[in-house]
Amino acid sequence: MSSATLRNAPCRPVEQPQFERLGRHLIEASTDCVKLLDLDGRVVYLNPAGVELLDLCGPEDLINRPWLSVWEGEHYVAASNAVARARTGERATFEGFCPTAAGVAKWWDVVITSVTDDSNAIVQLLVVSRDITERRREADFRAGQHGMLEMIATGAALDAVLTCLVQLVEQHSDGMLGSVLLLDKDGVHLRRGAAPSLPESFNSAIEGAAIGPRAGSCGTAMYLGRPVIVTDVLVDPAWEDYRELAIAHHIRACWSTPIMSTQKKVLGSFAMYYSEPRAPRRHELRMVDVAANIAGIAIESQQAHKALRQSEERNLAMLRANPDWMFILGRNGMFLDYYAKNPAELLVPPDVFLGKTIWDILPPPVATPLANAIAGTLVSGEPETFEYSIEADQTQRFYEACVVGCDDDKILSIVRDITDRKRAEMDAVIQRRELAHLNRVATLGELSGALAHELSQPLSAILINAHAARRLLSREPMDLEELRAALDDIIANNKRAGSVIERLRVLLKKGDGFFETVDLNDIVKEVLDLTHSDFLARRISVTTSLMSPMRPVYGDRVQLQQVLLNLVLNACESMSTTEVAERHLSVTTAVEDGMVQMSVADRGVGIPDDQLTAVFEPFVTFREHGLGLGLSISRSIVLAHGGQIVASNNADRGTTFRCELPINEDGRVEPRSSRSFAIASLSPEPGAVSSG
Amino acid sequence: MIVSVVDDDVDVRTALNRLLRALGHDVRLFASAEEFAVNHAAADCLILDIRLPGLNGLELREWMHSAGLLLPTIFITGDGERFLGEGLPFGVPTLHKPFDEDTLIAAMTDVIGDSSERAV
Repeated sequence: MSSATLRNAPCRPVEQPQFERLGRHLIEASTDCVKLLDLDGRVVYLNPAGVELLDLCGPEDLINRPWLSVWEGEHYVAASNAVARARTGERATFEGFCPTAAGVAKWWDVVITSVTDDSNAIVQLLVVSRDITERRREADFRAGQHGMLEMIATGAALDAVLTCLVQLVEQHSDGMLGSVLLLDKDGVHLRRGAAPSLPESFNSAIEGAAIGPRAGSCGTAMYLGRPVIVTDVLVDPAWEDYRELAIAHHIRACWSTPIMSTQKKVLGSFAMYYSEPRAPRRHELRMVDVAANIAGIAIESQQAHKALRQSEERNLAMLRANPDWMFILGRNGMFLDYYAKNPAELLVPPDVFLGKTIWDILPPPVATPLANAIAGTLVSGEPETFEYSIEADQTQRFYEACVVGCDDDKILSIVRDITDRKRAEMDAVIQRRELAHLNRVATLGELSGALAHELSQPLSAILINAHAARRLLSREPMDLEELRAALDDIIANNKRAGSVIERLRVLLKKGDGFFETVDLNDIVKEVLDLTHSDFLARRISVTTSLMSPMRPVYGDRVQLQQVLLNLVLNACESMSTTEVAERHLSVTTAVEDGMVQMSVADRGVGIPDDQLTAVFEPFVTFREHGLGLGLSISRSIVLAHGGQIVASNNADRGTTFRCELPINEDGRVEPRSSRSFAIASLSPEPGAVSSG
Repeated sequence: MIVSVVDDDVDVRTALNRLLRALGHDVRLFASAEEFAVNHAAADCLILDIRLPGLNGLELREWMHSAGLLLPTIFITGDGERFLGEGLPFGVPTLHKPFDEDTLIAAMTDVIGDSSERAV
């Protein structure tokens, strides 16, 4: 019975007095709650730490009471079992919940061992209870955190996540009301986050308030980007503007930590409110930090979700609004997926082309440029565009395909039906051709007098020679030499007349010419031959200065003649009021900077300087006759040949028109972008058109 | 008879030369009015193209008139109506290219007869 009761120790014989004393000191100094129970389970001893831990006035509050009576429910069961086991000499442990006398919830780690006398008989039970409330709370909180992160990861709504978060923190801090506020995108105004326990009137009062250096704990914390701890709102300047609101809602203390993004941008704040003036304890500060972190993750994750969703919605909207067809192809050219607003419009049904390659589905004239475009975009990383046409239902349809790499190893091909545009372009080409023809007819109409003269000369020579020949035949002796010469001249003049007619025929012909290698000097000679008589009639002297040797251009001979004809007739017209001695026209060819130049200079009235560009517009004319189409048509012809035409006034008098055309030795045409397709199409030979 | 021909077209000039010689005339050829003006010799008849580079046929005849060089003259022209009308001196025959031998001979007979009458 030596250790039967420490309390009664002095009454007991002490066999190991020093050990006894040591044990007593240990028990009395322990921070755990230490009790001795008799075999009936009544408390016979309680150490000082126990008194304090259980919020008792003194040990007498518990002495002689059956210890098991303090437990309830499952905890009572655990305690009874442990006591029963301890009675058999076993060391029994359990964790149980039991509030203190003041009602503070506490968790205990309880160890019960038996106390024996000298004969090893069990005489008492030693109960050591350790307060593990804090440990349990932290474990709970950690479990709660995991739950929160899971909620975020599964994409739960932000207000649900934040509400749970506030409730979790509230569960683990007594008397605290938590609140999450969000900072508006404008970076100035407060938005509602979650504050399930704060009064709605308070929440709505601060909604939309601006952050600032004195905007309560939260507004200030967000403004400063660091925690703000207000232990008493009645005295803290940060609450000056909100003091009455706080009083009305029984708020006395509030500490708030800003919620930061990973980029250190303020997203909002996490705050703890108390109804008493109060300073935070260390574990509370830690908890608020953790909560702010989780809130940050939740907000950012929601923003990311939202951005992703918006981007997906935007993509979908763009897709829906897009009339183009889209095909996803593998690098090997296999059709993997497609999008078409109206799949019925596809030339080949999806179940036929999906899983097949472009070579299986498309005709070689389409598959080849597509394969080239795929290869090109895989090398350059830039989109590649090409045009093609397919005959379907006996109509020719035109498409433009833009090909670009996507998803690392796939190809996106966007196909647009450009048939309407193409038809309009072709109509424009036809109209331009007809206009150009009209212009030539009109030009030749102006020249008709001169052309009649041009024909009447050889015809006269023929007739006169024929008469002469007849005379020569009847002469004795016959001058055969002269007779032969007359006949030769007849033949030559017949050819001369024939060539004038041929030139007229070519210029008057309607329809397609063709591109060939052309020497501009020849063009000059041909045109000046036709206009020779006109110069005489108009009393204009002409000089030519032709580059020799000349470099060739690639073009339509008739169209180039037309350009020069227009320029020459314009020049003649501009000199109609010039005194005869000054009526001079010069035609020059030259080579400069890789371009062949052809210039026509007159000594006429000139063109107002601000009109030098306008003269090339349709229906702008400085001539008495004509529609004003000549220069406009000339310009479109020169542009279609890859050149340009400019007008400039001469230093002394008159105007010079200069066209520049690219030198082209071998007739090959540089690839042009599809944008210049319309213009390039004016060149009537298909080979001269490159659609890239 | 000596006939002078002024025409800038070498083919027409050559053909006229051949025909007039075959008709038994002496022929002098000039490619322009200026050439004729500085180099003219005595002739019985002048066949003068109207459209010429530089001084034209009408101007040449005016100059001749003012210089007192009156010569039986026949105009020839390849133009349609353009140079005909007010500017054409009265009484000078004008042949439109292409013209027949007979027309030419008739015109020559006509002007030479005329001039011989008026020259006195």
